[in-house]
Amino acid sequence: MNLENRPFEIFSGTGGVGKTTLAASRAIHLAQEGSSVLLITIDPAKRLKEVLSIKDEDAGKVVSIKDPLGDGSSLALDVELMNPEETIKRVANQTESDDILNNRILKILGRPYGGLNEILAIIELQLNIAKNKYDVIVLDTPPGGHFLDFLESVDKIRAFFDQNFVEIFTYLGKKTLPSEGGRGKRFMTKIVSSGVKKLLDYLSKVTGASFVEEFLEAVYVLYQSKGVFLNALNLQKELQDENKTTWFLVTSVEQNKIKEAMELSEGAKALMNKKTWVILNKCLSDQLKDWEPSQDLEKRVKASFVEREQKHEEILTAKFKNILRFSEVLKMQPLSHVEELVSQWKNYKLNGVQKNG
Amino acid sequence: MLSDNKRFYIITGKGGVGKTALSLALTQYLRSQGIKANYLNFTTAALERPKSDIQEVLQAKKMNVPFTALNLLDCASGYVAKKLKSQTIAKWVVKTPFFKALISMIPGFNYTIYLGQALEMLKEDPEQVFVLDSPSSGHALTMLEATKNFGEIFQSGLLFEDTQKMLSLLYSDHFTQINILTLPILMAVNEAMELKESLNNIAPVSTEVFCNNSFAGLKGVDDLELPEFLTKKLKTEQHIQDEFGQDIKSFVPHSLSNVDEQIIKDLIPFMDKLV
Repeated sequence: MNLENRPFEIFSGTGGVGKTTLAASRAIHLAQEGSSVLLITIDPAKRLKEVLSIKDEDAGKVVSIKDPLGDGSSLALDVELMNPEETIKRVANQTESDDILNNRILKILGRPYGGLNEILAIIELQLNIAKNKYDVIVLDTPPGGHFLDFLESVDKIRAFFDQNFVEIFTYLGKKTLPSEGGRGKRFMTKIVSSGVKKLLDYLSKVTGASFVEEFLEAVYVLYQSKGVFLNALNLQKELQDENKTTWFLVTSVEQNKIKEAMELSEGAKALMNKKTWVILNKCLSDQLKDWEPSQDLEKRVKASFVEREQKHEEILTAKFKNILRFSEVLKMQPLSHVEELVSQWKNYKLNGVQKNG
Repeated sequence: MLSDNKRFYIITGKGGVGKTALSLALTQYLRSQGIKANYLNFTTAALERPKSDIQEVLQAKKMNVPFTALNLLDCASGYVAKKLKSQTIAKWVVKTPFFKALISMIPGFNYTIYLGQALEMLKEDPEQVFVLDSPSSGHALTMLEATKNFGEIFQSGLLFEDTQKMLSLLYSDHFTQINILTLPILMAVNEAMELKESLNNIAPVSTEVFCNNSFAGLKGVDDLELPEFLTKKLKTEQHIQDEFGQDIKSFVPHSLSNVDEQIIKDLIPFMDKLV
């Protein structure tokens, strides 16, 4: 079993487990191995942006980075810092309509924390795949409170276009389906003149009439771009195809997130493929094994760290076959931190991946 | 009882910094001071997910910490009912596909609904205090920004007026306290500082940074002979103290326990700094 030759690598996990640095180091490692790589990252810390030489004003653009580790090598990889606004613009380009850019509600929602991050990350991935330029695309997913937030976003798009739209349009009658050249206003008039008027009346009492109009327009505009969104849905099949996608679920010894790891394994079964790797990050066993504490407090400190790591090991090995272990990196500077992780990826490459008994 | 306590404590920070444990500990601390504090969690965001399922709520129950769990559709329909003066119409409105589309398309909408309900409850009961275990950093920004965005989205109407009222209550200094939790790792501290800046750009509210899990804060640690990774940890913490000491209000010591209940108990004596 090895980690090569799959066009997409997706890093998923709760915040703070080291997902972004692992994804960045993985991308650098793959580039070192001779692959042409695109790293898509979302909201990394400023220091990591510095390591990757990404400037905030470059957000939403693919930037080519030469010699990321600063060791004089001829290494290069492409990096894109996601920006929801830019993704929305790209959706607009695909649909050859400016409406999506002009709707006030969509504009506000497209702000960096407007809440559309997860859905737009899927679309961004899809648009980059369509370029057909890279051997591997490494995607660092948005920090979710939950491991499965990112995966569920695919279902959110589906639910929105499959159920809600269909229901709304069925409700309005097939004749009101917006035609290619139709304008939002005309569509709205049709809606308002249909049976939903009552609902809209109630709603506009609460939200204000202008909001209802603009929201309907936003719905209409999104409907026009539905091709792009639904294309992104097809991606889900590829994400579940073990020959195309490698999933890395990152968790860390440092955190008491054992219950989440358990929940994760249940949810993951349905959504991910068999070649899902769990990364247990920040392992301390190497550092702990040679420590022989003498004082009572020292013994307690050691026991506490050992116990924590064992607990994680027990739960993960019971549920997952493929576990990668990364040792805690003690380097303080982000660049040397990433450098050390790159070398840890190398270990796996050389030795083949450990399998659990 | 503290006379000048705030009404709404928002605990935020990156995932895995210990927000849930700290929020539960803070709720218990406030209770021990005679304050009617409840632990509050918005992770019931998914429409279909029953609130009894939520890990954090189970933890609160297990530890006998008073908690408030809100259900999204109940909150929404309660609000609409009040505005339209009819329960029946409200129930119908929130069940329509249109309304569900509104919620799934505007992801921040649910936060605004939750936040509105929580603030309403605080208005109704002047004794009530909430400790909000808020979603990890990106999402905390989403929550506050969403509320601000809705002001711009709605422009007029009842909801607009209510959003404005909500914001002015939320942004008053003696009402809300935002506590950002971080870990004694350079990158994590940097991120916490960035978060503080972004939050303050959105919400002009008193915001403090706390560093959890401080190994240097462990009593007696100075006399120990430690392996390299721990001496480096201590060095990093010293560096953080030197560089950010002024911007970090307090360091909360590392707990040697791996049992959630014990970790939370170990935190309680340090919670006075967060109030």
